[in-house]
Amino acid sequence: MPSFTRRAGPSSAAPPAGTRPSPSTSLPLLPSGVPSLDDLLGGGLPLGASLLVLTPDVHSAWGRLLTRYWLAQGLTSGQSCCIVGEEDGSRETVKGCMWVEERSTDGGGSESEGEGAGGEQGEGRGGGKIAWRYEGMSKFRTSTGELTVPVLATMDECRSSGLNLMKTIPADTLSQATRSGQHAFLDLATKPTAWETMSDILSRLSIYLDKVEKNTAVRLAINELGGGDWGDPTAQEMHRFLHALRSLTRSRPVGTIITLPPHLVSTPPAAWTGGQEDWIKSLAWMTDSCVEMHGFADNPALAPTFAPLHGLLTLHQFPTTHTLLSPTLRHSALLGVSQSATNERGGGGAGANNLGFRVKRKGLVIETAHLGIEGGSSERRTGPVEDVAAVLDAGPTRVTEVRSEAVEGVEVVGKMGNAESVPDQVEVGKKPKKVRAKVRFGGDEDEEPAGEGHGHAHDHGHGHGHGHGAGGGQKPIVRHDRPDLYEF
Amino acid sequence: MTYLTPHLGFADTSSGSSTAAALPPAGTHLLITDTLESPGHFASYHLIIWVDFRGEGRTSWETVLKKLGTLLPPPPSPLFVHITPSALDLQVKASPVNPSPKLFDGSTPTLRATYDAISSGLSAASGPAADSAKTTSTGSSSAQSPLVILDGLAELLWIGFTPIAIAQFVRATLALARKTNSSLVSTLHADHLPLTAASPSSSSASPSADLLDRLIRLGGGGWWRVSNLSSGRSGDVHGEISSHPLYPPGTGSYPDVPAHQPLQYRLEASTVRVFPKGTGRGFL
Repeated sequence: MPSFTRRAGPSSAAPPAGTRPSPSTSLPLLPSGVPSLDDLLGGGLPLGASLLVLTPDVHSAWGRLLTRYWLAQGLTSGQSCCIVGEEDGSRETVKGCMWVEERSTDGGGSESEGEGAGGEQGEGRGGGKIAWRYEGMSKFRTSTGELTVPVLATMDECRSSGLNLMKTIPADTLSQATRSGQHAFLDLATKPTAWETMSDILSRLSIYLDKVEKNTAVRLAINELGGGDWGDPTAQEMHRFLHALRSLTRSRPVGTIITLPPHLVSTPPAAWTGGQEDWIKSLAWMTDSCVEMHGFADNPALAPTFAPLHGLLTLHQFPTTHTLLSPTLRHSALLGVSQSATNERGGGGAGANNLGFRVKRKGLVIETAHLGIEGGSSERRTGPVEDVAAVLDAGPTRVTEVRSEAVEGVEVVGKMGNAESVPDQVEVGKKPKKVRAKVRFGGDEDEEPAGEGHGHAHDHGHGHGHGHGAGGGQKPIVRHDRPDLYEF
Repeated sequence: MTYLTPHLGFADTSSGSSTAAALPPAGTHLLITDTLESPGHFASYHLIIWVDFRGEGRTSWETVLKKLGTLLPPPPSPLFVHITPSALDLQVKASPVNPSPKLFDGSTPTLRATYDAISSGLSAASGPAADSAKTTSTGSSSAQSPLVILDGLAELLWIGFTPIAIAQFVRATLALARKTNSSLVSTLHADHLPLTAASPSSSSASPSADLLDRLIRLGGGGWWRVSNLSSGRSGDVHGEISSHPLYPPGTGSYPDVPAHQPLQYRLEASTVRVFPKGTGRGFL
């Protein structure tokens, strides 16, 4: 008999199809269809958990886009899908689902996330060589085209990356899924009160979940919760619905995505006594994960500032179930506080990244948000700078004190308000005569120190370089009340 | 909860020894508040009768406690009673296995069924069957008293209970705990509290603030305040804890860690590192 015998594994059933194992818990994960969102969720949405999508921008439909990704991912993986909401809206949502590219369905498995994938592949096949010391460095990226979470690469994961916004779900595929019961609709029924509408949905949902085959993951999508079709529920009724929904789905292989109408994000519903921020936090507490996608459509001035992003994304809540340390904090590269990614001693150190999103030609991607390379100004100066002396001449006489050095280094000081003395010392179009400013603090005496006559005493605490010779070049003219006029 | 004991241990007044106890003294009430960015779930992973208002689920606790080195006894067991109150209507069953007390009688919120479930759980936990179970599971008779966790009082508030009703429920449960020589722990989300003295409270007139005031005035124990850093999320420090003894003062059972000098913590895969502010990893 051998000394070592393989211990039999636990007798638990295999995970449902279309799920991926979690890197840190025993709970299988449901991929959302957007790999960068999966990164933020720690690999995907755990079974039994819910994701709330807040979209305060009234002019766009980011919530519907994420719902379509969620459903399309389930349909390609053979999972059951159920859409709760108004009848026409639900059907329109499903009809507009994106679909996979043909080569992905054939099992090719090559990922293409946006336009950048081709270039990376070309590099790996022996493109131009770079210096050996940089060979080991990874390419700078603002997003995750593939999962950084160490999960097993399955065929489903490859499919998840293959969802292409330029493809729409084929009509025959959709009708076949309808006939087979792979996806179902729970339409809102007209009831006298909002809670009766919600209670009706909960009871029908309970029946539906009981009928689903065991070991089949269910993707639930709840559209526009709390909107007019739901009977305009109060805040307490919405919270009660979310609480009851959690107790229905927690112990089942169900993942839920919930969207709210935009007006309920910016304005709490009736009977809510707290503020808007408290409302958002209460919603985030009642769900397992919560992201807010704030598009720029309602404030176009932000678009050029954060170009090429289409909106900012805030991660309010991330899954914490079944684990002490959330997989998001442990593994997410986008959030930037990962303890495993930063250094070997652990510790993410720096704070969380600012996040944004944009829609590329083929898909939605979440990225880190940065200001422009010039600190947020998208305008690049191409012409010569305005002559400062002319501005001084034409400007108001609020100069506290301007000092000009004579040729031999003798300084002549112009007093406050004596605007006429300035053009005498600084001639437009000529080489400036070493004009510089002096900061005068309260209580300073007007008399000059005895040793200041040599002309290069640093009598103020600025770090400007002062030339001392005749050929010292152009001197800066500094007006401390007009810092925008600095010329260096 | 051994990771918190060296820093936030409770004085063991019953035995007279100077060692810190992991569990709060019998007959007292420990209030734990937390914020969205720093959930305080980790502070209550060790106890016996868990009233799960949040709907977290038993398997989640089983997984976490297993990582922390404690195996939950299989249900049903008087050593660990999991009560999951449900906001569903009467005709809808949340789980086909576990019956759960209802939080609504029609459209009227009520905590009577939950209170009854706690009462029966406490009587089972302090009965002779539980004593024998303690002896067989640990190898020696355990002198620890039962402990009740009311997890997620803010959720009750949001689904329609008034602060007065919740405070009365907590007071009734505390009285029940004192009768059975038990301890009580309740958790509440308190995102409305200002992180620093300079930052204003988001809304001081909110129901959460009202409920927190009532629970603090209830006294009889202490308050652990778990909050996030005012500087935002960090990988090295996940939050701060301060501890405040409540009325009556001077009992000495609850540690005093002022809010301006809080303990900081970092969650790890199988433990929680707690350290005084500024000493994490030796380089902060």
